[in-house]
Amino acid sequence: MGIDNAHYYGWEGRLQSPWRSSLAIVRVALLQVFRRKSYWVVLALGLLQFLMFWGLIYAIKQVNFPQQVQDEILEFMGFEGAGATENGYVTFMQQQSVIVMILLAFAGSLLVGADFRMGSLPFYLSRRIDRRHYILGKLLAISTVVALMTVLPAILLFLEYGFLTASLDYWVDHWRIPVSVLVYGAVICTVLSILIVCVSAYLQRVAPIAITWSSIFVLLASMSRLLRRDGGSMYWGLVDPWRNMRYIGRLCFGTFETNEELNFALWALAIMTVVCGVALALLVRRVRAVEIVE
Amino acid sequence: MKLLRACGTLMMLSFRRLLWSTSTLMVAFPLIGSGLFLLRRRYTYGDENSRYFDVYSAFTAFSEEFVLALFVSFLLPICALAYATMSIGGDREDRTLLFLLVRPLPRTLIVVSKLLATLPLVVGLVVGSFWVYCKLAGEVGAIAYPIYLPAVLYMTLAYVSLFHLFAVTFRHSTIVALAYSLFMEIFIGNMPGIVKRVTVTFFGKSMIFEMGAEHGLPEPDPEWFVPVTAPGAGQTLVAICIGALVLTLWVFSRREYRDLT
Repeated sequence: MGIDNAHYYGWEGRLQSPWRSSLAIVRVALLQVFRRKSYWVVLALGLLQFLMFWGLIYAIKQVNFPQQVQDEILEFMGFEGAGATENGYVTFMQQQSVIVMILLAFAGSLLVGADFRMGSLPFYLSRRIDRRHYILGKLLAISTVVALMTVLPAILLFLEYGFLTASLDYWVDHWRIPVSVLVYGAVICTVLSILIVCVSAYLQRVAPIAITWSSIFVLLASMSRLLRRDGGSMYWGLVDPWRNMRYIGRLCFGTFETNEELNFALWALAIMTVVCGVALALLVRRVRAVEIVE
Repeated sequence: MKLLRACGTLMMLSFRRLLWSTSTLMVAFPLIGSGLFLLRRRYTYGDENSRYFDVYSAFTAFSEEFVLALFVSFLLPICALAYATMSIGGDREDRTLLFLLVRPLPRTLIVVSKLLATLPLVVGLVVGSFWVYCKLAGEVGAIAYPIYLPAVLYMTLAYVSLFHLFAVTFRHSTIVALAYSLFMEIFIGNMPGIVKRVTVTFFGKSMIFEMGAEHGLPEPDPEWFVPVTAPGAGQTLVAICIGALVLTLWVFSRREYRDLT
């Protein structure tokens, strides 16, 4: 059939920047993820924690506990009070770590690994985009998945807390909370998306990705905790990526009680910058339209 | 006889494919990392540099920190996951299961061959790495190896059977196995009451607590963990293994897979 009979015609509108195609990659990637039943199962597991926090806030604000008991619980949970050492919403995001890790192992193999394994990468790169746009699209897609599990529920909890009070004072007085949640969210989205896209581009299949990913985020965290025990150096905490991300978040919008903590945060920033830089360089090297055969 | 040869061929092929897979390379990293952890942590006692005064405290620390917190809770499930979900799950993922099913082999024999190809790999990796870790730990490791070995072995068998069941039941079996072993087991395992008895780890830990008690391992807080007897736990783990295997055979022989092409 001649091309004229197929009614192909050239694009007559104004051409947009190829950076906008990254958004199309995000849209397609999210549709791919949401289509899988397994994703919804993992999402439901992730919601358990959210529902627990939601119920807890509701119970504290609605059940008539003595005021002192209520204040102590809220301070302990980090939702309110000057004595709260941890931001409760950030703690919630940190407790989502295992489920986020599982979700990313799944999303990484589906969104990135499959492109390499099934040979769909050349189709992406045969369009009017290059590897920068592809990588940005995939990073944004993974970041959205992470944000759906961490940032969005944390903001919803903050809103819930405010709605259950008698005025807007909670939101006004604690305006730093959503900002710190967003900053911490931005850090984890950036770091996790770069690492998972790089790991998935090289390992491709779900089992090796899952093993590597869980080793990085579960095993290293356990080891770091054990090594810091019984007077071990706090710098062993630097092998735990979640802890590093937490401290980087605090660097942007937090306070440090001691100089040692500030030093630790700076070290964490340096380590994660180097790790992400190396991962990004490896990723750029890996994303090619054709496999190079030596 | 021809059937037996076919099963043998499938077994060897599966064994080789699993052994020379990326999973083997990737599972080596956590195993090596744990070895380095042991070298740094050092469970020696009595000398100037050690943190423990007697064998009991060193043994307790080794059991609680390494065996219970790292090996049984993470390394063992990950080793089982690396191969058990991939033996049949890998064929489903690669869309090569169709070529296996069109051969004149009964489905039950396919599962048995796959399981027999997986078991030596997982058991060899888990028991071998546990032996190496116990050697690295020194004297406390020499005490721990024979008494904890049955628990490690029974848990490995239970996990392998369970992950085979996941592989024939779910399309994304690796993710389901990962969510089960790292989320559900920990989430349910930390709940109060008897609900934790639905997890594999509970029975493994029960065996470890009873076996380690005579060497000074303290009993767990009864408010959170009421262990069952070691023989009972062992029998339950074997029952989980057999039950999961029977279910795997039943599901695989009856299920019509629609995602093969």
